Amino acid sequence: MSAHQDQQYIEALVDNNNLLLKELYEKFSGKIRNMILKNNGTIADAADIFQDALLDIYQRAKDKGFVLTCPLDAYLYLVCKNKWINKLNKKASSGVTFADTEGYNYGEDVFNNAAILQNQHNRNILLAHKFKELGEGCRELLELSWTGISMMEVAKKLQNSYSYIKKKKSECMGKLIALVKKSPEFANLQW
Amino acid sequence: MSEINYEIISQYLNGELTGEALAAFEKRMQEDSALAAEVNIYRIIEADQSFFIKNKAEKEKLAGSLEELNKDYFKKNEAKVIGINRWWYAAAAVAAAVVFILILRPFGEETFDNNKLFAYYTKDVEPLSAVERGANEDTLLLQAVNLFNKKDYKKSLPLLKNTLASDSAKTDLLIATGFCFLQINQYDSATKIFNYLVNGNTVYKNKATWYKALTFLKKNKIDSCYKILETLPVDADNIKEARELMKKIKEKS
Repeated sequence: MSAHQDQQYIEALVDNNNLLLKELYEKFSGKIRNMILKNNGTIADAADIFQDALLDIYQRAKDKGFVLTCPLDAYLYLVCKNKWINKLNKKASSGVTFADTEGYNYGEDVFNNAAILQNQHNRNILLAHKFKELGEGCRELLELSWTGISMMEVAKKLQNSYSYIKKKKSECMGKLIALVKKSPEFANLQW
Repeated sequence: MSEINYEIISQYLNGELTGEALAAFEKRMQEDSALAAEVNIYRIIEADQSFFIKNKAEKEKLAGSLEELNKDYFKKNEAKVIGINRWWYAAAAVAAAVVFILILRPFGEETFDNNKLFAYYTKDVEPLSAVERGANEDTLLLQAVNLFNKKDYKKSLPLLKNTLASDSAKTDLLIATGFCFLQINQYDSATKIFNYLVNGNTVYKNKATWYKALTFLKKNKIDSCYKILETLPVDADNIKEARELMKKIKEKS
């Protein structure tokens, strides 16, 4: 499928293109603001949700080469709506009601793309959370290895043998995976 | 599933397994879906976390840009802020106007002319399209559209009204009709149509708000014009012109 013309805004996120980002805000922030304000949110909530959504989209575009094939308008709205409903659900003791301020007919790709983004976001949160539960040694080793340097360099920095560091890293990964799998959120995530 | 050896998973994902060892591991993955799932999770965690760390600085930079934009587009306590600063704005506007008049306009030229501004903001009206709705045969409509696009609003109006009589749901024709009324100074009829669209939920809601403001501009009711302009959402098509006009009104008062 070919890219939608709004792909320029996705690229603006990746390139941090201020001029186009301004245009993105000009075009799309109003609808999100209205939606949050109409659904028991504040202007600060709206700003947070909007920014959060854009950062998620940035990650997917930068990391996975995501190309927008649907209008950004409906996609962004659905992503923000899902985020806001999640937030409301966390606060509320009973089910929340949501009033749509835009009458979008979401295509299948809009739904799928929004679901993928939500999954990516939830995975990030779970991983960050579980990573903190690891011991300091594991955290240091894993973080160093994820910076992109070779395991040889990691070994040098941690003043240990290459073979020990490699073995230790896989052990730490095993621990992290076990923590992730034990969490109740794990079953709701796609891997 | 037998006990998982993460070292082998790591070797496999780093491309360090070769020959028989590689073949054996791939065979095990095929037979053991739990092992395959574990490899997948290992791969995803590594990829996600590497991305996260490698792009941390870039992401923070982007977050900084977005936060700056948030300040402009998600203003807290918008009304209050304007309330406090209004005097400053007013004072600054007066000072600017004085400088403008004294230095740049020594011959005391008119700086705010509502008719000139009205003409300026209505000179590039979006043309009407008859083709979109597949009404090529409808000569009456075609005539109305052609006249409208030629800016002959007086002649276009009765034809538009006629077309609307048969189908009032055509909101593009409705707003065009309102615009014709406005052009020939039939303000009440124009306002009636714009109000209908402003209170409705069609794609012309914001456009109608803009035209309603222009109606007040043409009538030289500048305060009302300003108040209507304030209600335009930031994503309205005419927001840039609206802000410009608001600025001009502010400078005038």
